Amino acid sequence: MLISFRAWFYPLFALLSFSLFIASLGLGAMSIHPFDIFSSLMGLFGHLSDVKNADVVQFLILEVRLPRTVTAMLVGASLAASGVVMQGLFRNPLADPTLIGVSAGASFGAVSAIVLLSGFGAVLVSYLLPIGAFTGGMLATFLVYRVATRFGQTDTALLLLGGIAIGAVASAGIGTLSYFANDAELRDLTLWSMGSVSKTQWLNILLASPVLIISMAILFRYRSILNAMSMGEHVAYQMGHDVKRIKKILLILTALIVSVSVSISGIILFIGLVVPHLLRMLVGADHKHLLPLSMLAGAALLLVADIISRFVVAPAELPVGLVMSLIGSPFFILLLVQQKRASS
Amino acid sequence: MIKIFALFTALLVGSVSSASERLVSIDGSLTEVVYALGAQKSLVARDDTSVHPKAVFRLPSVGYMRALSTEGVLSVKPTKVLLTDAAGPPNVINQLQLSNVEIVTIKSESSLTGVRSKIEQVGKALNKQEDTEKFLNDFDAKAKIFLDKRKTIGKAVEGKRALLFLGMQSNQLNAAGVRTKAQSVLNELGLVNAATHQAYMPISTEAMISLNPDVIIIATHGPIDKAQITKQFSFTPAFKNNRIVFKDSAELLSFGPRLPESLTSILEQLTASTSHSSTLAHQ
Repeated sequence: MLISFRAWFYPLFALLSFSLFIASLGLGAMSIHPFDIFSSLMGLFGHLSDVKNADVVQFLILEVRLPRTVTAMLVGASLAASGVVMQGLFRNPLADPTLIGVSAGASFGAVSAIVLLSGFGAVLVSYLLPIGAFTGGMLATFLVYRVATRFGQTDTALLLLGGIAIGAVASAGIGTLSYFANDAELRDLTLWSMGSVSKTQWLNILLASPVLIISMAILFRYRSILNAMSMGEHVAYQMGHDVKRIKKILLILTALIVSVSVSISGIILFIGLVVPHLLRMLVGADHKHLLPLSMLAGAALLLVADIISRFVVAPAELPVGLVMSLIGSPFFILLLVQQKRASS
Repeated sequence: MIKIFALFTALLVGSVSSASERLVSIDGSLTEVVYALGAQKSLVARDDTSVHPKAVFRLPSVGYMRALSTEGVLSVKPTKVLLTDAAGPPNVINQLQLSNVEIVTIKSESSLTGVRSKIEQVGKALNKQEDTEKFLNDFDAKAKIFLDKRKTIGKAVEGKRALLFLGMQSNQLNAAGVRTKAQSVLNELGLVNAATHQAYMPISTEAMISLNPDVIIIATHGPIDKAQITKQFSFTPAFKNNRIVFKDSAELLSFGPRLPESLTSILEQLTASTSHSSTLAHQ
């Protein structure tokens, strides 16, 4: 009975994501006729449509909306998946990818690129920034991991403390750099930290998607092991799992996913924390379902936020990370309050 | 069927009216030039830095010039977009260039001659040769008034040590350093920047006093308590000689067509020989 109830979520969420995918292509500051959207997509396969203003429309669909839609789905799914993993690994519903310092490190890397390399010109910085963010994120996680590992054992409590410490170091670095930044750099910095999926180009996606998809696929294979891990490391060990190795792999994958996501879309908080939490309320704590469903829900949620971000201040655009936190946080608080009421 | 018909009518109307220009101006100074040349009728959108004249607020904004969105700009169906190389992010500019909208990048230099060239470039982009010549005559006359003033009354402050502050919210002194537009303003006025740091940086009252400024210029946005702010500068030569000037930051630092008048009025205020106590008494 319970299993069939969960099974319904898969088609439901898949359908939701797919409808949002279509909506994301169809909605924006510019209203485009559904027929034109369809013919533009056909243009992807070499059939140029004969609609008169097709070039603008086709351009918008193929070069603007499609890349941002794909980015939103990839990043949303990845961040949600890494959230599930972190919460399972730390056995704490409050855990999220920021805990191991990866976001702070990525921010520091991005800020370094914006402030220190601005002399090389805006175009080059737009290429160096993702590299900076990625390097920063990976480096921070590596440091945290080294701090928390003694005699080949990674201590979860130390991992948390190390994450906080490295995070503090990174924020101090960000603070110092912003102090010396000029107005334009400060503005770039602020906007970057609010996240956006609209700046990605096909090249970014081409580079990022294999990493994200493969990482997610590997995480997917660990979904039952995550169940064991969330019962406690000793339990997992007793069950015959190589806890040391699993921890290492999961951490590396999370760092990889978050670093790549941050590098193409800036800081988008909230998804990694809240999507797994929401899904746990809906489908329970079994990672076999929690992980894949969280990926679908993460993709859907970021798409919704991105669609909203296009309309609020059109023709300008709000950063999607901002929208995410603005609509997501109150919703989350509401859910928590309801949950409390239901349990009392 | 009706929908398709409506679509075709829309396309037809669209192609007929495409003869008229739909202009988006992305930079406050460029927008001012568009108005100065009388081309505001074709303006369909602005950016967040376009705040003058007041009428421009009726137009939708496509956002901050360094954070444009491709679709946002295209959604106002522009035929021409004016911007400077400060506009970004780079890939959005790239995408806009790939679309069939004409993107005109105006070379923007922070100087009087730079502003003149800006007007010329915008005039050329808008095909407004006559209006441009007319306005340039006016501009040149105003620039000449300023340059003459610099040679006469301006001699009194030539080469003096100056500080230019930005904003002044909650009494925070945000001093303009070298390689800023503010530095260019000081250059035009024949003043020497007492600050040596880069960009805009908060400095303490103590540091400000130790820099010993003969002249203080405060670029403001929005209403401020002038007396309260002036008090902070009590121990500077600038205060003693009543050489503290307030100026709207959009007017002064955007390097738009109002620059010559703005500079002239600063020179006049700096060299007006009212004693400080009397100014404060007025307030």
